[in-house]
Amino acid sequence: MATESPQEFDREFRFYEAVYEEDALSFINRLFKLMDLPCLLVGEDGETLEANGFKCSTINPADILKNGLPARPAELAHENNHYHRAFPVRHEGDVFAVMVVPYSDSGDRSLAKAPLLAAILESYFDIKHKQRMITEVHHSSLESNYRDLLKKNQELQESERRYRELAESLEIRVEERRQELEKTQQQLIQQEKMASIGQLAAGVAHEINNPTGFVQSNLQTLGTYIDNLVTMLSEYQKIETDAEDRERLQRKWEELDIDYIVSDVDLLLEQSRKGCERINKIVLGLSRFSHVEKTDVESFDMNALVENALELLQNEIKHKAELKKELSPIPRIVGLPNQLSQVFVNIIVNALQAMEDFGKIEIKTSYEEECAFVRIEDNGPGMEKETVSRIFDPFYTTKPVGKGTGLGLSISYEIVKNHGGDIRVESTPGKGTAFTVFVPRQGSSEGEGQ
Amino acid sequence: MLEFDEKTKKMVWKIVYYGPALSGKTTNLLSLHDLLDPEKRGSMAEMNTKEDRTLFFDLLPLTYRTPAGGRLKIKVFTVPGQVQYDATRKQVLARADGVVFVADSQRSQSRNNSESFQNLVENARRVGLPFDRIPLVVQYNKRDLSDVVSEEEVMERWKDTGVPVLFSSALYGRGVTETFQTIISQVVDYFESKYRISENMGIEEQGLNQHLLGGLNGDGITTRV
Repeated sequence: MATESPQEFDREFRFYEAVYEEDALSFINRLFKLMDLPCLLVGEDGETLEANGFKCSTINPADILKNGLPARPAELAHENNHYHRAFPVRHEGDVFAVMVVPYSDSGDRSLAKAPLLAAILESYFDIKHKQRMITEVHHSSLESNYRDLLKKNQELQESERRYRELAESLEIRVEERRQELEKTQQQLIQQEKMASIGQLAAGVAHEINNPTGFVQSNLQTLGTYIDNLVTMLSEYQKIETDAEDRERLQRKWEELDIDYIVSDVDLLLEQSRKGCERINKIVLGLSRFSHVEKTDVESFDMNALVENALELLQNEIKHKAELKKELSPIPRIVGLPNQLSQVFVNIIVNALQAMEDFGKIEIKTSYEEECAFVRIEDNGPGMEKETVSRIFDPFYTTKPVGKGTGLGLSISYEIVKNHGGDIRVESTPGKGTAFTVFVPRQGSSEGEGQ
Repeated sequence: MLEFDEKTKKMVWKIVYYGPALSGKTTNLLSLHDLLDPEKRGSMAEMNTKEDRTLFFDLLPLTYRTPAGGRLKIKVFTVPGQVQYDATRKQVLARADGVVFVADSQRSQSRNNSESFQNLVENARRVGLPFDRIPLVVQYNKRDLSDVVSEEEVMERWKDTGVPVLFSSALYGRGVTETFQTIISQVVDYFESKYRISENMGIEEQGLNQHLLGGLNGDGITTRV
């Protein structure tokens, strides 16, 4: 705005701002010549604006304004009969220049011409001033309109740029958001699946528990009854009877294959009891899955936990694989050590069971960013992508019927999730599989505040 | 924005007549021009079209020599009232030391009045005028016409603002000097509190009014709040 200030149309306008313009200067020159009036025109700062044939050493322009600008025609100093009279030239009701006219006596025609010349100058300056004001106000209006337009243009460009950016990044952002949603959806589906399966499992476990209970108990009783019956049977055999009866009984005995029955009944009962035990095991697994037993959290040493699991499986490992351990220091973790121990056992057992020949198992632990990592890697047959994506699904198993419940990894997954951690699986068919369990130091919601 | 030239001891004030189109801003100035002593004023510069509508502005310059020898020039401007000349209106309003808002008293013009006043507030902000502080006078013009908003209604509307309201008929020269006197008195008070002009310049309301409007009296139809 500072550069604009000399352009303010309503500023005080100096006489010479108008008369110094070339055409104005030539107009005034011609006017003075036409009027044939020798005179001196002095501006309000005492500067000579025009000296038309004015020759007088006695008049000093600066002295004329000694007493300020005269409001009315005034006599100046004179020499012999050389007189000078000062005429005010007004603009906007104020004197802003003085015209000094020399004359010889009171009848001099110059004195009559002077007011006329002053009036012409005043009108001329009025017109000039008006012209200047209009030009400048018009100019600054245009300029301000132009500035407004420039500003608007700038704003438009800015908004266009933002729009373009938005459009360009939109696709990327949509894709990001889509992936995010997909991930969330998968998580939700997984949670939902687990929750509904958990409910189902709890119901099934409860329903199966009761009949299995009385089947088991009845089997027990039945065993005793059969023992009694067999004992009684042998007592009957000792009874003396006639030959005819003995032969008939013997035939019937052989016909019914009682010897075999007596020898087989124990095996049958034993197998039934084993079957019941298996049912119990499945039911126990199911109920563990449905509500991973709530016990109090405690702080524990993750490495010790791993060692513990390995000790437990010492025998199985010894016959199936070479073990390699690489345990790094880990600060104490807060959580449920018994459950986590079950996770490691599950994973190692799975690895051992999958191995077709004598293999290799590598266990590494580490601690990064407030998280304990346990990596269990085998060089077994590995898994197809399809299998990897389903291994945490309950009841999913690749083992022969009766060998696995399909619950081990589901339960493990639940346990680790409950600790706020996760299990990652990398597997290459023919090369092996690696499970990485990570558990945050402060554990799960159950571990919070501990 | 007070203009002061140390060397020539000249002070310049700018007073702007603002208001909706055809409310009588130019008529106010012409009336004032005719009422004032030609010795104390310059010629009036009108910038208008064939249809007598103000195109850029009108300017009535007034001069006063203070007893202390200082010079005061009061430049009285009108803005163009027509909506499309907003850029010019802004230029004319800029640097004003006092504003007279000339409203059209006719009932049909109420909306134009309020739009124009909004425009005044808005433009004052744009050109950096402290609108809540600079002197303001409101004049309800065209009292000679029928179907005008009653004085009671007008006073009711403005009473809480503390802005002086005057009634006029500029075409017949009534209420014009009173309005001018009121704005001059407001500006004098404003500069007195800001620059102590009585002490520094020898400008006092009474002397100034006596000089500018000496011998002029209203005919009693105006009201001053």
